[in-house]
Amino acid sequence: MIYLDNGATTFPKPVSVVNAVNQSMKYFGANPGRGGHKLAMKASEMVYDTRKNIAEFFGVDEPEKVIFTLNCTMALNTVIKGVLNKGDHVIISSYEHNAVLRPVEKLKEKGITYSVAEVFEGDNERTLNSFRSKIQQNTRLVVCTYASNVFGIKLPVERICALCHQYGIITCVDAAQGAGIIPIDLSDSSIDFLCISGHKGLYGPMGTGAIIVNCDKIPDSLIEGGTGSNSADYNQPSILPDKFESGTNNFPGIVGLNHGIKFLKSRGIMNVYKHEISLITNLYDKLSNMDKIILYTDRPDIDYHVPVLSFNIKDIDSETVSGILSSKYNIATRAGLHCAPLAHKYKNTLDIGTVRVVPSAFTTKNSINSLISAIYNIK
Amino acid sequence: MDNLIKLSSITQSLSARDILKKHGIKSNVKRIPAKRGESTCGYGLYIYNNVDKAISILEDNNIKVSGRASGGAK
Repeated sequence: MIYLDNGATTFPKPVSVVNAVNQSMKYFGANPGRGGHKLAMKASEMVYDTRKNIAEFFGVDEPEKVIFTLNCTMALNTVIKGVLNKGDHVIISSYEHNAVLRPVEKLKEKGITYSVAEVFEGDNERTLNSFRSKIQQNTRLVVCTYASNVFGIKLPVERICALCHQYGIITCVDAAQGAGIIPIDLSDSSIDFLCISGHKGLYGPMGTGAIIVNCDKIPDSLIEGGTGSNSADYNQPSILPDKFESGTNNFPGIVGLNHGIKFLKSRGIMNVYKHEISLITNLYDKLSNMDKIILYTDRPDIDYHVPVLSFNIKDIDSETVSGILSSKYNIATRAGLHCAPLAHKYKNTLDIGTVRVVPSAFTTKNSINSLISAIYNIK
Repeated sequence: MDNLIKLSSITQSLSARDILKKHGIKSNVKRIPAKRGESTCGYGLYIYNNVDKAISILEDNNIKVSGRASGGAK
């Protein structure tokens, strides 16, 4: 199979990730942060080593500021619901995934309002003004995606977050399609909370994600429970990461994630990024020459896009195209709305969806050529 | 000798160990033994020497030491 659905999850995973998960379950499967016996301590060390690796990867000094979650959605929910209170206002972008849209929509029930700031591809000034125009006196939080999971359009997140800080607004970035794809350095950043997925660009197993805290404004906890610390206290611990890590975490996943990041480091994140963007650019150029193809973005550019491409074939709905690619050509793409109705609304593709192609470090030029050939032959 | 210091969590204890290592102070992460009237279920560090200096270093790094105790094997 030619797998080009890496925006949903990267596949295959590096062998080192598979081996690490296997080893963790085979030899080190005690509960980290709970007991004091050798195996539990070893497991704790392995989780801590992952924390350190992630902290270093994203330019954060303290490993405690890396909070493990089950996915990016849980990370975003934790920040959004932990920061906002009745009467607050939040701004989101027009490219948000349902992981952001649905929580803020739900919060309307609690008297929290939201506005959508439109994003303008290739015009960061206009996008910035769009965010500025939505700021209200009660705006407490801005949540925006690092890049659209449907169209690959990057947002000027650093500039948006710097703008928000001028107004005392807390910032949160959904880096599900950015973490591991593009270097993100929080050491000199206005991003307060970076929410990441572990199983996409970071090549970890599914069931992994994290919040990276880059400020002193600590949200309320979303869930409470056992943390393995201060157990006699009925109250949830206030220290990081315990405040947000109740219950047993995904130890095998976390260990695998550590090796996913090591894999990326060994290849060089920019090398992988350049490889993927060149594949997508090649695809874009070839599709541009086919009359039957509808494209929705400018030619992918390293400054304005991540390696994600959406297209449609005129007069054939996206699910049918993706179905043919799978059944007839053994090529995996993703069709439909990609859990991002807002993005499709702003691109006028809400009714038909799009076919999305996302390469990974393992995607070859031949694979993309096979896709191009398959698309050419679909009537 | 009260060589065992109490810290808030396993993560903080591992972090504290790394900080002390950078300063040339050897320590081991331990479970804190239960003591009457005090909360157990916690982690801390067994510090081999220079305990006062170690505490001072940790406090300089914003790591709160919540107590000291004796006992606990190395």
